[in-house]
Amino acid sequence: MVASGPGDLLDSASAAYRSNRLAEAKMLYQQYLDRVADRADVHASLAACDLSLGDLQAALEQTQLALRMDARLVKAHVLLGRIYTNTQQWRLAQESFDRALALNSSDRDGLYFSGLAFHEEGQLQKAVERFLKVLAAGSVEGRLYNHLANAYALLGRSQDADAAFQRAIQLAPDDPEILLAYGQYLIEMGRGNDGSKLVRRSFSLRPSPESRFVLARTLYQQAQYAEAAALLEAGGTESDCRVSNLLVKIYREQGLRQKAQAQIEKLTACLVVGSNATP
Amino acid sequence: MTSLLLLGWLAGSSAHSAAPAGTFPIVFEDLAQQAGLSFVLNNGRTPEKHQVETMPGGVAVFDYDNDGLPDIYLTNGAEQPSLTKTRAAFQNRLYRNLGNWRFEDVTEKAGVGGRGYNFGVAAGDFDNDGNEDLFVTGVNGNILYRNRGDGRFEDVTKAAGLDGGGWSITAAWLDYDRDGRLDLFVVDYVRWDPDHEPYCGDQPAGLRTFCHPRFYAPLANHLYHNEGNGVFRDVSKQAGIADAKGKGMGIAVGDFDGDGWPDIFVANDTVPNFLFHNNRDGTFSEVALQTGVALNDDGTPVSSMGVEMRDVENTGHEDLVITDLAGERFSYFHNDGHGSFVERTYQSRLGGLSYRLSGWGLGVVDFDNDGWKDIFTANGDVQFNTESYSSGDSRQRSAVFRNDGHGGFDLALVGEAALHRGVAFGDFDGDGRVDAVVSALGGRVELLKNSSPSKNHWVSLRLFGTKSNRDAIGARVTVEAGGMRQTDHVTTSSGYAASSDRVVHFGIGTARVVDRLVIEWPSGIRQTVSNLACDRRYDIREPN
Repeated sequence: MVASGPGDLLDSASAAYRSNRLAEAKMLYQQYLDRVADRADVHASLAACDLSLGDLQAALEQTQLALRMDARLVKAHVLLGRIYTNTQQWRLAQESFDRALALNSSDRDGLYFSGLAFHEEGQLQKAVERFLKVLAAGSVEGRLYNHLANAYALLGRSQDADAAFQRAIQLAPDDPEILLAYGQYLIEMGRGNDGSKLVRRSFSLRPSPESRFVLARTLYQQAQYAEAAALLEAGGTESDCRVSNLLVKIYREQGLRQKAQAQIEKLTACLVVGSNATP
Repeated sequence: MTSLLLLGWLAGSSAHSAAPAGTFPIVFEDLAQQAGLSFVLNNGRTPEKHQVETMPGGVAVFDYDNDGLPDIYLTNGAEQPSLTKTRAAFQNRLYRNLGNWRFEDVTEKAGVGGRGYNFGVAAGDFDNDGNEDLFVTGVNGNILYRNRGDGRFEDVTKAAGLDGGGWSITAAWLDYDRDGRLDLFVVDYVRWDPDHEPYCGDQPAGLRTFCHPRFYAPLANHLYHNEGNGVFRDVSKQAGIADAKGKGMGIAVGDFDGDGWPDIFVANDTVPNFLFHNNRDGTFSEVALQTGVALNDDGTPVSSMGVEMRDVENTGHEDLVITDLAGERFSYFHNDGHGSFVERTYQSRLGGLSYRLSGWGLGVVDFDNDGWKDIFTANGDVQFNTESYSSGDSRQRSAVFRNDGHGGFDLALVGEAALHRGVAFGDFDGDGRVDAVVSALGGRVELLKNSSPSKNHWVSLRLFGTKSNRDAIGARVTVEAGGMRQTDHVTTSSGYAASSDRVVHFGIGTARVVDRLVIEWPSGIRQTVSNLACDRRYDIREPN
């Protein structure tokens, strides 16, 4: 696609970003900035592309450039917080989110990503407070309730967790991530039958490695060994210690000694590699 | 002063806590103060957060003077960096049970104040002279105290050949070759050098934490054979123990495959656990991966700390319960009766209920005498400043997970929040309700009297080997009463760094008679006793 003027370039870049065509969006933002270099918000948009593409250094440079141009750009402060979250620099991350929220106390992204950072850091109560503020600001999303539910679950507030998970499912009944999270939570709370139904539905909607593993683990725990083994075998077991570990247990219950032994050897090698990992 | 400590069900666990507050059938009262137990666990805390500081807290419950009343021994830390007991506050302590919930500090008289920085303790009569001896673990040196039988102990470590270095956390007495003499298994943790303690935490913010175990190299464990002349021989290599290097914290000895030979489980911190299967020829095979207990079903090596191997579900096979850190969930492995284990952490609800707890010591004991063994865990985070960087709690209450008899557990929290570590068990007043002693870093020891209101009946058994080792460690006991059949075994090894009374206790519910009691002695002798009246302790000697 060939864009004519700078305005068209910007529209196309935004459209590409929204469609998750990140490389294309990045290229278009760069083309725009070649022509109009002093737009802080566009540098921030380019930084967002870099962050989504996993290029943290480029994202950091573009964000800092944007903030030098406009120190009051909320979006750039939020991005900086997200970059620091990615590198687990929690204090710097929250300082950036706080600067964003000082400029706009109800900024949805500032609250939301600050909540995620708190969650990742283990500050669950603070995460809950931030998520509740996003809700109070009028943002009603399944994913948000899912994060809230996960935080409640880790805090041991199971009634609140249950309610938030149910609201998340209500808002996004076909979201595989939410179905998996709630299913796994129910299994961990000893409600395996209810949980496995949700995990199975998540897997049927989007068979991710995580949903495959959780479903197989649940089937194994329910003594449905053949189906559990078939699931894992279909997903491949390359360099995944946990899959080999589960297959050892499944094959053992099936009395398939040779297959179990093969997985033990694979698992042993896998664990040796893990134990040599640099601290 | 007496304070009623068990106050209710875990708040917020709506999925499980069906009963209203105050109805939990297991109740403890802390009688430490009135009983004269003034011990404070002193870890010699430093700003450097040396790894040793978060680990001590060994407790032993054993009858050192043979008066029928279980006594209490508590290990202690030391000053740093010298790792020496420079003042009385670092002494290990022995408390003699005077009866009626009164104890007397007899440490000086008994000569068991310890030396160096101590962790675990294991009680066992290694010389078969009828007096319980003590093995105390430490960093850079362990201690073997021989009980002279006159109220005093003598340090025979060097003469026994047990004066090695390293960092040992815990130990267990067992007769692995069934020759009638107790051997010793010593669990080592990691290679640690106080002069090269890494900085962990957030240095710019001045937030220092204890480092993750991955910063320290693993060590092999040691098996010492009792030669019978007061000397032990290190047989780790030839027995196949030395090949497995781990980061051991807990040990449980049992017979998971029911072949009559003791097997050994070692709980490892953040690396796969070990299960040493006894090959009946003086050697062991490490079979944790094959039997499904090296890792949980998620394939994750968790921070395994305390462990117990007991028949939790009254199937006649010994299951495994393991404590670990908050966020990991205590593990429950059900023995399938065919030489393997199936994890039931979630199905039993133990996983969901323990998520926010960091458990160290534990016991699997029938506290309400209903015929089903419950779980007690001593909890407290590994870090002392957890609140400053997370939503977790450093100080935690101990917990009782009551066995509902249908494969599940219900939870109640016990006592005050503290940095609990070790716990050991015994019936201090002989009322048929098993009590507990819990240590806490920087805190006073807790003496928890079991005041459960249950009217259920019980029997307890103190076995004396003649051909077998005198403590009868390794004997398997089966009790049939009221239509229930239960099994347990004699051991002093208990949870984390602890040693419990060797008396075997069974709750028998509403039954008033034990219809049949079967003892399978380590010597191979099988003894059957019928029609035992309830609510009393029996001393049983091994028949010739």
